Amino acid sequence: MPHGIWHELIHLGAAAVLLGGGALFVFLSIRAGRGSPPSRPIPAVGTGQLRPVLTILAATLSVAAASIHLAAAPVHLEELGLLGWGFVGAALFQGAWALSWAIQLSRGIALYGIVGSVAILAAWAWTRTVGLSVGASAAVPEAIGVPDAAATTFELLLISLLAIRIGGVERRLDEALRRLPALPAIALVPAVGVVFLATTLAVSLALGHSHAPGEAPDHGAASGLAADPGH
Amino acid sequence: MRNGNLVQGWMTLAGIVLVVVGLFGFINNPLVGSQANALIPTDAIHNIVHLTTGLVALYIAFGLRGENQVNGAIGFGILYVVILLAVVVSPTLFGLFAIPANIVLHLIHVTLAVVSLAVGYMARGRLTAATY
Repeated sequence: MPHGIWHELIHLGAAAVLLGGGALFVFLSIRAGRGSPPSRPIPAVGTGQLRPVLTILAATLSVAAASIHLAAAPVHLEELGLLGWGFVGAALFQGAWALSWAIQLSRGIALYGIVGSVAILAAWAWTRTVGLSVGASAAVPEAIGVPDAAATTFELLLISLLAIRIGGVERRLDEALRRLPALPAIALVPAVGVVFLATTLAVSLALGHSHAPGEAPDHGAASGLAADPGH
Repeated sequence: MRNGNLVQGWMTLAGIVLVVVGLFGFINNPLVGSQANALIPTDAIHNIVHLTTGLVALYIAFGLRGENQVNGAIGFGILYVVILLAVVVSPTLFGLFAIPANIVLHLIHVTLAVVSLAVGYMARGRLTAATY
């Protein structure tokens, strides 16, 4: 039997179960709705939902950036020697910071997060504008690749979230969201999901495991995207 | 069936299907796997995405309650809208997947997105009404 047919069958079975089950649950939801009184708007009160959502998102962003740095470390250790340990250091800092943040939400830990992220961003900006003084491409600015662009985006978002927390903007945002009290909670799953997908893509490119469209999974081929894992 | 039970039921079904599809790709057998002579050349990253989103669905089903569970289901639907759009734009998810997405996979994504949003939205309406 050709390769593709079994793959199609697995997905076809999954689609059939989800379609059948989905139709049943939508039908039951509509039927349950008929027996309920009409819904009314949610009262305009402070939600308090923003704080836990931003906390989880900040920790997720830090873990995501740490994963990308860890994936990029082996290549840079080989290329830059001692300087390559900076990637391991960045990953350890970001992982440890996320853990500290999850355990204790303090202004001090938020400040450590901002200072550490700014230092990592400054090192990245230096390599992209001036270039390192060692390695095969010494004094030549490196090109921006998908992995480092993703890590940099995560670090910038993390700094913004922590600045919102420290600067007292969070309370005002929470007040502003009182007409949409569930928005932060609803946005959490897609936000974490998108960070997860972007991290998977970046780590995959940093490890050289990405595939060009339609290519077999031989784990060694070039990707359609720039795979420069460097910072 | 009550509000929470409908959301829990759907998220359980979605979670189980995604976890089974994800795990099946990792089982070492002559049909599916990463070995050279496998009939189905699955890639690990694609399986991980199915497995992770399946576990998220199961967490929403069994780890959350009440309004949080309903919000989680709506968020799950939005996540699958994003995934659907991304995979429609790039069937290999920008080079991440070895096997490009086909129409059946798009159908799975559409179903997960639409049903999660519909079941979550209708349950939310009933939750709001029940408050009064």
